[in-house]
Amino acid sequence: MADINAIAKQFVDFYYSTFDTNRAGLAPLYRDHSMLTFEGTPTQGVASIKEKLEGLPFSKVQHKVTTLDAQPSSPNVASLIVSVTGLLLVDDSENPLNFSQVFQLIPDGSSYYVFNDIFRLNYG
Amino acid sequence: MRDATDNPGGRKGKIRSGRTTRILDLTKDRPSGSRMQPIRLSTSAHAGPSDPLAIRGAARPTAVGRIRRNAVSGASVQPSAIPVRVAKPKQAVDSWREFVQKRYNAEAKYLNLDSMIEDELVKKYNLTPPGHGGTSRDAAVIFKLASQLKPEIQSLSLANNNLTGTLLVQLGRYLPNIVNLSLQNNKIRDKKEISMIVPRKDKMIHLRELVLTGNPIRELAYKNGAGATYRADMVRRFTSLEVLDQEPITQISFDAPQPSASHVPVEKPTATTFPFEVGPSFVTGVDGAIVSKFLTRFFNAFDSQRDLLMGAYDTAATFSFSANTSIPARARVVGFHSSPAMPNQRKLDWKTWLETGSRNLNRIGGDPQKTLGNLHIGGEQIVKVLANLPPTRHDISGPPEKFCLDSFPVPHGQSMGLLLTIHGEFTEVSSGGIRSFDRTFMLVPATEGSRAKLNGWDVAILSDQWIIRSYSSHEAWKAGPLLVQATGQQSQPAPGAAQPFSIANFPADQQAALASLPEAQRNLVIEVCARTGLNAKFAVDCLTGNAWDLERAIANFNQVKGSLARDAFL
Repeated sequence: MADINAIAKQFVDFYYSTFDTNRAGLAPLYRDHSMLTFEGTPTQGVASIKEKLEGLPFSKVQHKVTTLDAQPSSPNVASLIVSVTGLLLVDDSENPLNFSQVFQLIPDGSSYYVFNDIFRLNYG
Repeated sequence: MRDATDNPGGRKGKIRSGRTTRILDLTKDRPSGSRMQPIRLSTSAHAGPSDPLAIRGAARPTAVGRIRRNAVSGASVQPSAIPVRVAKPKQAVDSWREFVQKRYNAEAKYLNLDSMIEDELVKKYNLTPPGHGGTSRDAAVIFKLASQLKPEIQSLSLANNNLTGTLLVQLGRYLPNIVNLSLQNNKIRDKKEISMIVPRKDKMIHLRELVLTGNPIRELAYKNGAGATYRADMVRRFTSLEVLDQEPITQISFDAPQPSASHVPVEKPTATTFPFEVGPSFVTGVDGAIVSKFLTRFFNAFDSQRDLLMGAYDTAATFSFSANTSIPARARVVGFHSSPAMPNQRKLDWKTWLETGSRNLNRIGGDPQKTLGNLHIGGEQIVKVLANLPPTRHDISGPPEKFCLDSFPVPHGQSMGLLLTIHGEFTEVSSGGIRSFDRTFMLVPATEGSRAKLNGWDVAILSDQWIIRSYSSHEAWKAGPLLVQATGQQSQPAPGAAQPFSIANFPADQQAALASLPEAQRNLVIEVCARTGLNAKFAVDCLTGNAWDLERAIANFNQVKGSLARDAFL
């Protein structure tokens, strides 16, 4: 279990630092059957997700993770569900936006990929 | 209700008409020549399955996705625009044409190309059908001829032809509008070959029914116990699919809050909005009724008698919660925590939450005692922990806009699970204060004889992660551009106003209502009231109906002001 927590922490650190510095670098985290739902709009597949992430209309973005939790999503497979809440600072806006994001990670060889990625703003 | 009619794209008519023509019902009219009798389909595409989740998984395209896909297919997949190089002697093409025309049932718009090698004409002209010596080019010739049939072909059967994906690469190009397709008893082996038929998801977007029974891709999957994965793969690949291998994929019908047309902003978000539009709830691949039923029962029990939930959690289920104690910046500006309209917010206390075992890995770090101790496993242990958490009240029968759902079917062993995320708010009963939350469930169908099933749950919880946050209103989930900052310009008082028009000008009850609005919207409301004389409620309605665009709202007011009752005004 401790292992899952470490994976989650490592994943989240990598995901957001990559998102904030080089969004194109996120593509290898997804597979062709991966699904990203950004504000209720579903996008499937590496190419579409890459396009979607890179096309998000903010030039500068910074994530600050406030809470992070992780659980196995199945007793049989080493997949896990990671829940994050945090702050999103967009283009030097003074008011950070609260967001909530859920990842379902599936093992693939020695690493993990993102099977589902659900993003929502929580305003506030 | 979420329905295809809500979405543009002009697809619905075609799909509906497809419902009347079922490929395999038609095959019964064929003379007996095929080696294998095709499977008869169930009589209804929406026959109730015994297992609520096992056969779900239809990705329902959103309006945006659908428009985009149609645009692509409309622009680039005109059959006539792609010439086929016909190297065969003219005679062969004519022979194939005669064959295709003979096999076409124009009334049913159904082209039956079953067992081509056994056809009298094929033998007579010594043709080589694809799969029996013919190449993908022969197949392309046939598909092109099929695309020229009048009226346009709707159903196609290619059963019993020894076909592989390679031979079908041109199918989607020439027949992009096909509604029903049977590839029964062929040689399609894997997903790669499926990708040859539909290289991208925007191909064959009208396909409602697909039969792959008798192909290695399906039979091997079932043999290896991966039937659910196979179905999920197909459903993700053919996004409009309703029936696969004679089993229905239930479409969703969820009473999620949908923006009315007037809420959909016309113009691009301006600099004062979050540069991405907020979408409504997204529920796919599952009958919304199952989600509703589960959530209703779950939260009712959660609020009244938590030990009843023991049955809902799998014996291996995990539960954890974390408290996000920060006060969101905007909520602070709006003053939710100190608003006179919400006097109980001040009485809220995080103490119980934090002491009961908040599992925020970001905070407790690597402390194994906490990371392990705060992850609760199995129904018995979970309900014990739940009993110690503060009593709650979720207003699930209240305004639907207070909750926002995202859900996905995910493969889970032999069956399908459902990943469900819900955002919303609840009242802490002891203080009456309101908190916001995000909660993610991993649900699986309750198996026969399981504790969940015996307790009347259709689904069992495998994982439950709950994040409790300071209240930040449900404005975030309202569709359309999200205002993130008040702008000085818009909140300026109307020119010529002797006195700045402010919140003080409103009666007390309206002041309270205004106080509950995010600052940016509150300023717009005050502005509208100042310029129109409307009261706060009508001003909010007017702005909501005009995508929170001040000038549009004023223009709209000027159009209808004659018809407004006296009580619409201050």
